[in-house]
Amino acid sequence: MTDMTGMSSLLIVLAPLWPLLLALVRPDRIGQWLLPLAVIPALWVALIPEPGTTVDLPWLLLGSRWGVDDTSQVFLLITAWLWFIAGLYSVSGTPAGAGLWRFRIFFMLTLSGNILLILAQDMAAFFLGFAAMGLASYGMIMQQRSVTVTRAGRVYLIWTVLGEVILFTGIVMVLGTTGSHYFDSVPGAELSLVAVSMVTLGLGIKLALPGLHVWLPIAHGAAPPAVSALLSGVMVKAGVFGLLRFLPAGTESVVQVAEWLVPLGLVGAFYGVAIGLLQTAPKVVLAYSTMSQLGLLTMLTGIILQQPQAEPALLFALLLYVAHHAWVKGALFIGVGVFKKTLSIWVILLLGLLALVLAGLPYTSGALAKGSLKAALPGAYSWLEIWLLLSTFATTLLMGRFLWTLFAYRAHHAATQRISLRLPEWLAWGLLLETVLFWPLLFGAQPVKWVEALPVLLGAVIALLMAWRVRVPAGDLPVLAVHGFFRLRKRVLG
Amino acid sequence: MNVMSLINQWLPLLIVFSSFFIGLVIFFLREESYHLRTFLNLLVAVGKLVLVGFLIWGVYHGQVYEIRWVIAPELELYLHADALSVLFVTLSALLWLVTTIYAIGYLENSPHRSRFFGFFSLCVSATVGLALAGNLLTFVIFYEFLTLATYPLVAHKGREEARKAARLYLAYTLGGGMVLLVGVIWLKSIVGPLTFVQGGILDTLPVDVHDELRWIFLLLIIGLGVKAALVPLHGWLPKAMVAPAPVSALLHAVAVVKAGAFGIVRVVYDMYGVEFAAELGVLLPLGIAAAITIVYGSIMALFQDGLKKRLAFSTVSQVSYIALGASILGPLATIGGIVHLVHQGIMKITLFFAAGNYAETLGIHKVSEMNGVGKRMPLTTLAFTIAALGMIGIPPVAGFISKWYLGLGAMEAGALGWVMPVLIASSLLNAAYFLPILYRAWFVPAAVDWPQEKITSGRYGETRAMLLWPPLITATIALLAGLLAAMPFSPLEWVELIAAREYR
Repeated sequence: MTDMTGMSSLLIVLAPLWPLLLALVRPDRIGQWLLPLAVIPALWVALIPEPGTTVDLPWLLLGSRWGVDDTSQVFLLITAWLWFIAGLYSVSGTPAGAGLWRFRIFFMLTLSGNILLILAQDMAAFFLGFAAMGLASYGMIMQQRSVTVTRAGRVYLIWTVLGEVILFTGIVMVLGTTGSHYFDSVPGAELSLVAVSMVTLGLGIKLALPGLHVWLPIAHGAAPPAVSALLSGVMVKAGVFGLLRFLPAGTESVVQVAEWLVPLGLVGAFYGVAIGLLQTAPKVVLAYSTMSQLGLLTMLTGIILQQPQAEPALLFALLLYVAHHAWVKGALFIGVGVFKKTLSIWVILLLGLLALVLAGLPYTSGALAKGSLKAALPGAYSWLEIWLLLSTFATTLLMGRFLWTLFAYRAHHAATQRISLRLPEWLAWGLLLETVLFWPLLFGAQPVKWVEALPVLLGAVIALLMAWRVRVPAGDLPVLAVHGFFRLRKRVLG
Repeated sequence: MNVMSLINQWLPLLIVFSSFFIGLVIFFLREESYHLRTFLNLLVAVGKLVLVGFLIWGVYHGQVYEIRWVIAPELELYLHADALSVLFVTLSALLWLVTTIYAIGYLENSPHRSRFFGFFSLCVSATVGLALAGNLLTFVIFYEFLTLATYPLVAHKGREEARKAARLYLAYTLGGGMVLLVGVIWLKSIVGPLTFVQGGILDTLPVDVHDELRWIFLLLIIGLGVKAALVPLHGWLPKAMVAPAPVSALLHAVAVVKAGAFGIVRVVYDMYGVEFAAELGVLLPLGIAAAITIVYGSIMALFQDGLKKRLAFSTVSQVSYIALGASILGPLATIGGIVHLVHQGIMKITLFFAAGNYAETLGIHKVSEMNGVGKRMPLTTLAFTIAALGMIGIPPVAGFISKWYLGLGAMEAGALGWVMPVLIASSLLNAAYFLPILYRAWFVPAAVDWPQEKITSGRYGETRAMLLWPPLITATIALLAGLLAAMPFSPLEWVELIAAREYR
């Protein structure tokens, strides 16, 4: 048994470090296969050790502790699996030459940060992981060289740095109250309202709270498909994870903020759809859908944070929802990459299926996640049920728009040369599709209420009937305002 | 026992004056005796580091290293090693060794090398001397000596621009030195001997001299603030960057600027005593001056296209973190301020080494010429990147630890309301002037030709080995000082020891 614990400790330490070591290997044809292999220790840690296993690293940072608990192990599994898929997809998908080194290094740094923030049991290590992930993913976004991508990268970087500085302020304030930088000192701590707000704002940028969301559609639209999958699938979830880590649930100030998170999340859920419906690029539509789904997650987190002891059913629903969205959205983004190469009608059909899963088609992970969410809603929030139905309807509409943009893209690029997919790309997408379709079966057959499928069907029908002409730039209102300002200035200055 | 006390007396003396005598020897070496000069330089730099190793060990175990020399009644030279001096001596000795290597590589085949290395050695002697000064008078003597020893280094290139900058430097620092001296003499007339004692010595004075003490504090801070580049006394620093890269590196990391900051720390903690200074109400003005300097320096840095000039304004800003830490009452802020003395030094020296490498290798002097330099000089740029991220405060580089403790200290003292905005603004501004450089270096393709490629990349890497290794070493130290901040004998651990002794 001690051998097993020793092994677990070793792998917990190795999980974030292994990718960094692999970053040094030459990224030639064989070396590229190390991209998916970089998550192996993390996957092991996600599956094998008992929850509660921790390792103390007293010399690291300000004294560090890494380990897993129930929640973080599930997060780790979701995260590591999507990283595995994205790595596999990128084995042959990254550009040649110096771009290979760059992609490799930033991929590994981002991965390492993402794993570390999940394993971290202290605030400094969390912040290290969070910052590394946020900054290094800039290098992943900046794969192609074009004006759009450069601009997207800049917007992303500005918001990321802003988020990190605000979060840092929040952490310092939390730390001033708890007195210890280990997370086990957080529960029950009476934080000031400013501290809670700072943490929430800092993480809220990752969560794309309405108003703080500008970077998300711009960056997710410009990044390569595998990177968008990671950004939308797992990296933004660090916001949810961080809120659960830093905020002592049920204390006065946290409840005050959490009560705001519920309506704010709801606004985000519908705002994302509304703007997404006006988009013409498939990946930007998906990005707005991410904003909308993050809204629901924010709402759910807001409910969870109001009770000192998290309702197990609610936490379970949250984890189901995170897994559902991470993998479906990952599959959708990678699918867009597949589609843009092959322009195949079959791929559109598969993407259509995924779109319905995201919306909540019965027998799929969408129905499972939304069903358990609805079942777990506490009495005070039962009024949200109708909003959840509406959101399902809205998501279906948005997915209809998504498919419409795919057809438009196909018509526009009819004359383009089709590129056949490499084996790793097929393998990656195929594996993820199977994951999406079959993991809900682990939870047994779910009772199906066809009433709940109604919004999906209704949405689908309406989506078929509609074709949109209006469009709004990615980044919506703030970007529009900036454009308007420049246009005005031009006119005034002649 | 007798031998022990002899060692305890001689060790500080040896540490201070070894480079002084070697410096004098080097002056008389012929220009072409390259090997002998290099040997002497490295011998004394390594030797000093070994001696400092002994010193650390001894002070940690409570040994007392001190030597007194009474010149006249009431006038006593006094060297004494306490935890704070050991911190600064270690920083100086370590960075001096690295810079000596760098300077040897940098000045290859250039004229007046004996003169350069002679003053270079005098300069380290002065810095170590003021670090080990046991009373304010000894401190002032070495402080002035440092001014005189660095002047020829700033003017070294001999061009009109360099001579002008050096004259400006001299005017500022001599003026500051004057003010400092007036303050010290005034204080001496009230108190008598001005020995540095942890926790301060002035709190026992009667209330009716408190007003005088406030004025004296102002004089001392002005005198020290010139070297520490507190706004509006910072004018010489951005001009002085015409000096050769190793000199700039030293000026900004350990020698001159740090001497000022170190002096402020000494005056606040070991002369006035931080609790007494708070009682006098002199800390808040110091804090405000530091805050203004931090923000002003960062904003000015934003508009500089010259790489070294941008780094110079960044120094103006970053060094004031030390004064900021000293101005906040409470052990955590003390830790944040003093540890930044070390952290800023190793990060900034890395940046200047890298800037020197760009200039020496490719003729790059401006930020706008740095496009694609990461591909041509990956290791130098990697070192630059680590240090720049550290300046912004991104973990795990050392600067993160400083900001962490400064923030916590402000929280502890209830000063979060004005300190945190300064920290936030400074972090954002740092990001705004460092990240575009990193973007150019790594993400923008290079222009067809470099401004003036002097060293082609070849068998030995991207540039000369003696230029390449110093930034790599200091960048590694900067990374480790943050990553392993909780390790025994890390800068942070040592500073915690100091802070524990300051608050009794």
